[in-house]
Amino acid sequence: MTEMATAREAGSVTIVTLRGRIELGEGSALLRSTMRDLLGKGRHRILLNLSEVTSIDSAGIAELIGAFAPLKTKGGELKLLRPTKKVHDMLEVTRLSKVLDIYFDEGEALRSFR
Amino acid sequence: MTDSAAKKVLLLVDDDPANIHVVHSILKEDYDVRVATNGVKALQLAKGKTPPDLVLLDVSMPNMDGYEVCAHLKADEIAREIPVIFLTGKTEVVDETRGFEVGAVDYIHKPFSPPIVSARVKTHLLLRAAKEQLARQLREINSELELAREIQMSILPSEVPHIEGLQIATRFLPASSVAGDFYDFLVAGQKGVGILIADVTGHGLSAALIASMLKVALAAQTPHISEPARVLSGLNQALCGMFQKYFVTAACIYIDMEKNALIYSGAAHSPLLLWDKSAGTVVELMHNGLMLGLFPQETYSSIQVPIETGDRIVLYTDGIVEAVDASEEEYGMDRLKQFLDCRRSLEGDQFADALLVELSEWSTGPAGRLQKDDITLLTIDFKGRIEWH
Repeated sequence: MTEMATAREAGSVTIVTLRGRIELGEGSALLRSTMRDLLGKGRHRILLNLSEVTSIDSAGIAELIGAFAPLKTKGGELKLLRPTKKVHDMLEVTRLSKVLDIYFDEGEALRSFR
Repeated sequence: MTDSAAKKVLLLVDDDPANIHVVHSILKEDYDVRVATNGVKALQLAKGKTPPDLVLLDVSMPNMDGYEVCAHLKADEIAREIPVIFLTGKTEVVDETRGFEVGAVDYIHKPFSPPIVSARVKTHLLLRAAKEQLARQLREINSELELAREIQMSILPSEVPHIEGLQIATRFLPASSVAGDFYDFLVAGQKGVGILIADVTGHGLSAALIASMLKVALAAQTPHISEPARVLSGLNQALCGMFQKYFVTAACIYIDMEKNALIYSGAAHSPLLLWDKSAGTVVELMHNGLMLGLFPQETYSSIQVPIETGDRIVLYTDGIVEAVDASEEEYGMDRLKQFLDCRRSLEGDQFADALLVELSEWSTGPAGRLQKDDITLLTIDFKGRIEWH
């Protein structure tokens, strides 16, 4: 599957849907450029929809953390929505699940933003 | 340009004095123009002590024509790098395809228009400079990679520790010339041994440098080697703030030969596998904190399990479970556990070799894929001490 990212606004929150593999190369570069664009536009509340992400590797994880830190310093938030089992397992093994909020319901996720 | 020493050298080859005069007058201000009136002289100058930076070559010359001169130049190890521009007369019937086939970069047609001659010469000199710079950079990158590989090979232990009652086997298969995997042993006499296995994100120089930092930081943890959680906390403290987009996953164990116990702590690393002989099953142990190097506040804890003679501990990096076959299917944890179960009777070294064969067969499907990630495998067989009563 070709990697792609689409973004839509839901109030003050931007929902970014990623598709494909978030791995070293195109996938992780896409995540990086998408997050940089949003930050540049002053969008600091981001819900990352991972339901169509088939896999993630350490480079992808590094990009997630890389996106998380600058948002936090700007008072923003990054939350994850519906990771696939494989991605969720990865978030569990790396214990990132305790750093990044994970939601399985979009409405609930949107309400959780301050 | 005032400094004549900095002027680029052009070699103009033409048998017609009128043409030489025209071209020379266009270029003499900016370049050091040397002239040859026949092919043989041109080759002598081009292969001489101070070879030209560019050759302007007339196609039609008696005895040796431009094509032949160009072919000779391109056959020479050094002169082949000099760009050649052909000069052709308006009425001459020339085969331009042939010119490019013998290695020319461009044509300039007569009558010569000074701006065109200047511009073409300038362009091809710039192209050549850019090409040389790229080649130089590539050489530098390759030598850096070579250095990184040397760093990496030098930080991995050259042999496994010999401890009575333990048999350790190690396998290390980098995916590219420089990998991000690392492992090391810290021996506490005959009382026990501490083992760290780690996976640094990425490959190349950055990974090798981070791995070498890890080795230094691990050595500083020698006094606490029997407390893996403390070792990981120490490593995390040492690595935090050093880099932003890289991190390290690791598992640290201590095998206590006096208490027959395995103490284990992890940092975002894949589960440790233990062939538990008395239970007759493979046990997955996972007790992770966050990855090392990014979260200074993170704390790590450990678990302790008893081990007995016949138990086998398997530590590994992601490259094993994430090895994919032709249809992109991962080898996976279940197959690894099954393999460990089926081949439990093999000695450590044979087991490690058999697993690598299995993985290579898995990932070299019909499509013949390359190994994607580094593979590191450590097996530790607990034989127990012989007790004399």
